[in-house]
Amino acid sequence: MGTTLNILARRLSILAASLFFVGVASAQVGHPAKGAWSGYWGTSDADKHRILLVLDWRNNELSGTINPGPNAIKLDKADLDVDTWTLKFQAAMPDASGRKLPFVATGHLSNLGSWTNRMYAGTYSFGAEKGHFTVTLN
Amino acid sequence: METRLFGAAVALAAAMLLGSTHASAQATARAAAPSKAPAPTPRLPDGKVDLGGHGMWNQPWITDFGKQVVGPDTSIPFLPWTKAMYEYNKANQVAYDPQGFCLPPGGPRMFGTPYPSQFLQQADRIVVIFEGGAHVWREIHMDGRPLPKREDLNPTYFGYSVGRWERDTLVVETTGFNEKTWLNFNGTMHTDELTTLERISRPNRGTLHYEATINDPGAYSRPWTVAWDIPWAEGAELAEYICQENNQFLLELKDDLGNPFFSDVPTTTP
Repeated sequence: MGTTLNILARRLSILAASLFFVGVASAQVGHPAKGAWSGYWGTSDADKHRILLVLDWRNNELSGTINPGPNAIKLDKADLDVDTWTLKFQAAMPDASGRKLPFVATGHLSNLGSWTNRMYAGTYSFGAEKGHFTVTLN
Repeated sequence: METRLFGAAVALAAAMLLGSTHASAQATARAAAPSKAPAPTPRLPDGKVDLGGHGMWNQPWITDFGKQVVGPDTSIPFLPWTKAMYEYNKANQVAYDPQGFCLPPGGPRMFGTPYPSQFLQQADRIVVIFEGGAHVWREIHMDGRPLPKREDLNPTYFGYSVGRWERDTLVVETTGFNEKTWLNFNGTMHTDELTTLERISRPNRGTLHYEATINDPGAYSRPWTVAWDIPWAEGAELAEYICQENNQFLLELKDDLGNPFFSDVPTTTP
């Protein structure tokens, strides 16, 4: 009985893993910056903040939103240099006191052909703060 | 050494002479044969061109849309990002072509994928079935309905197609494509703003002429048109071809970082 349950549990876990695989392996092969990117930004590993960055390509312009939802922040500007795959964006982001400060990020798109591990990583400044960010295409 | 070289030269000369004689005989035979005009375009009882029949269309493998462009300007009007992605795809030998993953080619590429197809014509629709490209079909609405707005559609691999006859040419407008395909094997990309205008004709029984105008302001600076002919295989039938079966390519594929492309594939077995 125990053995049967073990086998069933293993099969269910493999099924779950398969479903997860199907979920993350959806192709996005249009504009390489378009899509939902998730990851972290911060001054160090001890000071990391979750970020969801959603980028779109419409009318030959990149636009986007940081952390969609009630506290969403619309990007003021986003530019991609396709010669170097350098993507810069800027937004007015509130600090802990609610004061809006410019958040300016400059990073590099890499692993462009990947559906599961396309990356955008670089540095940012947020007022006087400086740090790194890394996000992966969902 | 010299003897061997001489022997080789004699053998080469003999082969050339024999080859020349053979080619000459062939040319004479061709000249003697009466010129055979292609069989006329078949028609349905209502007079419309019959794009089907007992046979199938032997689609060619169009690997480079750049060589199929027709019109006054035969270059592909890339935007900077599509040009850069084209170069990227070329540099990695088109390893990440979605069709290599057994996904449908979508759009005009479907008729440039080297697996045969058949047209099934009904009064209100034309269905094109494809042996390859994930063993898929495409539906063209012929009942006069308008083409929906792209924003109102759920984006799909083949989009939403409406067709009409302009004399003997089937004209098909399509919108509502998703962004999961390439336009062509060699890495020409598109966006979901893509619309296509296809003109399909059968100038004689043995030839389908295919022409597609690609309009994607998110990827190209102006509309551009590709065209090619597709030969008819009388009496041939489609086979069952399932691309997904035993696709070893995916197991070996690595991304730019050297990691397995699908690193989440379960590796344990029950």
